[in-house]
Amino acid sequence: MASPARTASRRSCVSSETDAEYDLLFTVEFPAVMRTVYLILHDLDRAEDVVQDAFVQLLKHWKKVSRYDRPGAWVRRVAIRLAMDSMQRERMRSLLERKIEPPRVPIPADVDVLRAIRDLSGMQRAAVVLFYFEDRPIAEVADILGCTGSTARVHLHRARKHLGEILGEEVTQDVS
Amino acid sequence: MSLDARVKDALERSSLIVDPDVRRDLATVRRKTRRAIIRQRVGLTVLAACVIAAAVFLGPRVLDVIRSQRRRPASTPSPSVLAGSYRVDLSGAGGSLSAAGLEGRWSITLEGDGSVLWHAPSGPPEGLPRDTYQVSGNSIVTNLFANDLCRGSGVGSYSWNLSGGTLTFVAVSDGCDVRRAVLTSGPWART
Repeated sequence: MASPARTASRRSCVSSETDAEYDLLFTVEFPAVMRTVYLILHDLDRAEDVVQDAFVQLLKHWKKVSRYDRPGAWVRRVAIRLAMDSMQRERMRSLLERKIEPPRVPIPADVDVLRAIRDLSGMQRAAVVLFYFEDRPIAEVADILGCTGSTARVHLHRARKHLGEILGEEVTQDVS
Repeated sequence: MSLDARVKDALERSSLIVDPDVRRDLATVRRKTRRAIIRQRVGLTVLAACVIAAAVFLGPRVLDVIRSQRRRPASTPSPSVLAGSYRVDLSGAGGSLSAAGLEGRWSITLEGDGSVLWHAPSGPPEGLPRDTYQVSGNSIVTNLFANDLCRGSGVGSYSWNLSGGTLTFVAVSDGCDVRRAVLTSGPWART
């Protein structure tokens, strides 16, 4: 029979192992998820809050989620869902206060494109970021957004059409 | 540059602004998680305390209500305790019955639903709404004859005793002399 000290020591070892696994995933995934969420929200502070909250959820459910094939996909999905919620709250706040802040872009970038993306609906914006920035195929975009492939394709199609109209660009072929 | 290339390029450039301090963020996430877990535990503890407090304060009252509801049927017999048909012969009873020409054989039927049917020596009432009675313990309140012989007299209150198929009434209060005389002038035999 194992002594209490040995059991405690073994428990502590298991705990530090899972801590190390979590830390490793955090180090790899946090910056990537942060970039994606920032591109959806266009607000660094809010993106940081949202992504931290998503990783809090991950840590709370780590025992279960760590057994999944891709815990990174789980936390990305949670982060995007939280970003959508945050966007909705922000949109309500902006409507109430009649104040829309311009995107903060210190790095030279195509501001027109960013403004046009900002004009898209939450799902369209997330689809654009996952498809163009993360280079994910439609099936994965759908998986992360929690919708079917055809719905994701529709979001992307409408987003591209809207961007083409605003930017005066021709949308030649559909995405595959 | 095509639309797709333009969008991709703009997003990539824009993302360069994001350069998180992972170590600091990890510490923040761990701190937030601890707080969330503590909040959750405190919330559950408060909820449990509220449930216990409610049980302590409301429990005895709820038990009292349940007990009183259980007791009530025993102390308050339903009309069906007396349900049945009874007959009395008031020939030669005299008094108000004699004056009103109501001497003779009477019968009443106390229905289980609280209604009363009666049959006077001169015959049953025709086209009148049914009278009613209500039993509580050994008391009975009735508006017998309210639509005929006791019109405008309200209800009468009696105590009753049913023993060996014989039902007797003792007047407690009744403003209708005819009803009082019919019910109390003799013992009613169950038929």
